[in-house]
Amino acid sequence: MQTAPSSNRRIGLWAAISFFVFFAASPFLCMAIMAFKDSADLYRKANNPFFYNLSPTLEHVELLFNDTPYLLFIQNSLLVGIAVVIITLTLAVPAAYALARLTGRWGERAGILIFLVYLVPPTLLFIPMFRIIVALGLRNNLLSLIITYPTITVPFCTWLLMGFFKAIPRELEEAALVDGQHRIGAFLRVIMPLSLPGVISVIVFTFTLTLHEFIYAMTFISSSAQRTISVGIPTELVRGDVFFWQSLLAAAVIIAIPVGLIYNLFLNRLVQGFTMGAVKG
Amino acid sequence: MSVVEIKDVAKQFGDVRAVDGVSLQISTGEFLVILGPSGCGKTTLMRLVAGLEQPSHGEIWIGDRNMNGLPPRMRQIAMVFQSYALYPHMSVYQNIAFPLKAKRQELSKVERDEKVHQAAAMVSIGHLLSRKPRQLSGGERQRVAIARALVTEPMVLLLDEPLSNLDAKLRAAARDELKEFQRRLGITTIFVTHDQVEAMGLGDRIVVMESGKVQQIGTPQAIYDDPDNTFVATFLGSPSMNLLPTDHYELGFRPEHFLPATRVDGSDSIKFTFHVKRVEYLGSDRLLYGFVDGFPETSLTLAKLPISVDDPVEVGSSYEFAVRNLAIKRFDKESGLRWDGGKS
Ligand SMILES: Nc1ncnc2c1ncn2[C@@H]1O[C@H](COP(=O)(O)OP(=O)(O)OP(=O)(O)O)[C@@H](O)[C@H]1O
Ligand SMILES: [Mg+2]
Repeated sequence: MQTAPSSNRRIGLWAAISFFVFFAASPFLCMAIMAFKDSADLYRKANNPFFYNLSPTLEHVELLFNDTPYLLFIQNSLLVGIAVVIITLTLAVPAAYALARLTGRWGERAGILIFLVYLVPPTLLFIPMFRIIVALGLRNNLLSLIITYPTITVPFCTWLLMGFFKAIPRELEEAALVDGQHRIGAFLRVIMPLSLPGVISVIVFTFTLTLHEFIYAMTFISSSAQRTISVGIPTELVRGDVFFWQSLLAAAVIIAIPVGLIYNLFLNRLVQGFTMGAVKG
Repeated sequence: MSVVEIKDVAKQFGDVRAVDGVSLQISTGEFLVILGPSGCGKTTLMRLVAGLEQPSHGEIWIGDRNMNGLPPRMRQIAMVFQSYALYPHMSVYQNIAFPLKAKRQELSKVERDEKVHQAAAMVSIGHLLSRKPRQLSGGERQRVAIARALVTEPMVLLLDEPLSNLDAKLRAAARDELKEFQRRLGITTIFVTHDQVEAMGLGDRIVVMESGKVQQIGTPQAIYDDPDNTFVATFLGSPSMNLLPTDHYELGFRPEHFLPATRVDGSDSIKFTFHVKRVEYLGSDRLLYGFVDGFPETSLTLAKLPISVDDPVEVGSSYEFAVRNLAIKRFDKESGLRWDGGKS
C-alpha cells in the first residue's frame, strides 16, 4: 500500500489529469463550438475561432436533420454495427476458444496465421470484394457491408480473444466439469465471465470499425438511402467544392459523444476485469 | 467393500507412459495416499479417476459402476486442485453453491442455502462467505476449496497436493484439520503428494508410485519397515536407508538402526567397523557420515544417533557399530526386489 498522497502531490495529480482531459476533449469542444457558428463568423479570418463573435445559430444543425438523411444514416450504421458485432462474436469466440485450448504448437501457429490475414489492408481487397458483392447481387444493400466487415474483424478478434482464453487456467474449467457442468456450461459460467474484458474489447473494436470504415462503404453502396454515416455525411455535405463545415462537424460530434459515453461505461468493467486475481495470490 | 476399483489402468501421452498398469482397490472411508517423486504419474492417475482423462487401457469402477467414458459430472466425485481453482468472479458463497446448483437440482433454494452454510461451518469459514477468493489467505482458500468439494457429499474426495502451497507452519495445521474432517465425515479420500511426511501422517494406506507403476501398497508402517524394493526403501525415510553392495545382494538398514555396538543386543546382530568422516548435529539427533570396513569407501553409510545415545564420536576415528539382524533387509542386486520376500 502507498501512503496517502500529500496535498501538493494531489494538486499536481489533478493538474496533470485536467491537462490530459482537456487535451483529449478539445477537438470535440472545437467541433461543438463550430457547429453552431454563423458562416459570416466562421469564414472571417480575423475572428477568434474559439468564441462566438456573432451570436450562435441552429441553422446548420437544422440543415443536417432536415435536408440530409442523417437519421437514416445513423440507423443504417447502427444496423450494420450491431449485426457485425453479433457475427464477429459468434465466429470469433468459439474459434478463439478452440485455438487457445488446442494442445501442441498448432493452435499457436493457426492463431498467428489468422492474425496475418488481418494485416492484409482493405485497400488491396476492395476490388476483388466488389466483384464478389456484384456476383452475389448485393450492391447497394447493407448486407454487403454486414458480410464483408467480419472479414476484417473476425481474424483480429479471434487473435485478441485467444490471449484472454489462454490466460485462464485450465484447472478452473476442469473444476467446473467436476462440479457438475457440461463443457458448454463450464464455458458459459466460468470462461466467459472471466473473459468479459476481452469480449468488451471485441465489441468496442468491431463497432468502431464499422462506424468509421470508408472504402468498402463507399464502393459497395451508391444509393443515398443505404449509406452509413462514414460515407453518407461527406457525400451529402460536401457538394462539389463547397464544404458545409458546421453541419459536418455537428454530424460528427452528435455521433461521437454518445459513443464515447457508452465506451466509458465499459471502461470501468474493462479495468475491473484486468485487475481480477485469477487463481492464487 | 471397495468404493473405487482401478483395474490394470494405463495412460499413454504420445510416447510417455504416464500411468503403467496400475491396479488398486480403495475401501469405504479409507484415506489413501498416493506418494511418489515428481512426474511419476500421480496427478494423471487422479485425473483418470476424476474423468478428466480417459484411460488408454484398463477400467475404473466407482461404487460398482464402470466409469470408462463417463464425464466427471457423472462420477459422484469431488476434487480439490493443487491451485484450488476457486472461481475468481464468484464470492465464497457462490463458489460453494456452484456444484450444488448443477449436481443437486432437486434441492430448494432454502435447502441449498442451508447446505452451503453447513459446509462453510465445517471448515470454519462462515464469516468469509461474502468475500472474493482474491481476498483470502492461502489457508482460507484451501478451506473454501474443501467446502466446495464436500458440499455435494461425494462418494470419493480427490485431493491433488492441496497443502503444497502453504508455508510449513500452516501446512502442519492444515494437515491435522484435513485428517480430522476426513475422520469425522468418513469420506473415502484419495490424496496425492510427493511429501513423505504428509503421506506417513495422513494415510491409512500409502501407494508408492514410480514411473507410472505401483511399487508398493501398504500401511505407513509396513511401507517404512518392510519395503518391497530398493526404490521404496530409499524413497521413504530421511536420511534414506543405507544400501551396501555385497557379492550376492544389497544389504539395507536404516541409519537409526545403525548404533554403537554397546547399544545393540549382541546376540542377534551384525557388527561393522564404522569410519566416521563427518558429524552433523541436528539438535535432537546426531548424523554420522562415513563408511564401513569391507565395503568400498564410495558407498556412503549414515548413522543417526538419538540424543539418548551420548557416546563420544570423533571425526576420523573408527568405532564398533552394529545393526540388529531384524532390522536388516536384503535386496536383489539386479531387480532391487526384496530377497527374503518382504518378511524379515
Ligand atoms: N497432458 C499431457 N500430455 C503429455 N504428457 C503428459 C500430460 N500430462 C502428464 N504428462 C506426462 O506424464 C508424466 C506424469 O505426469 P503427472 O502430472 O501425472 O506427474 P506427477 O506425479 O503428478 O508429478 P508432480 O509431482 O510433479 O505433480 C510426466 O512425465 C508428464 O510429463
Ligand atoms: Mg502432480
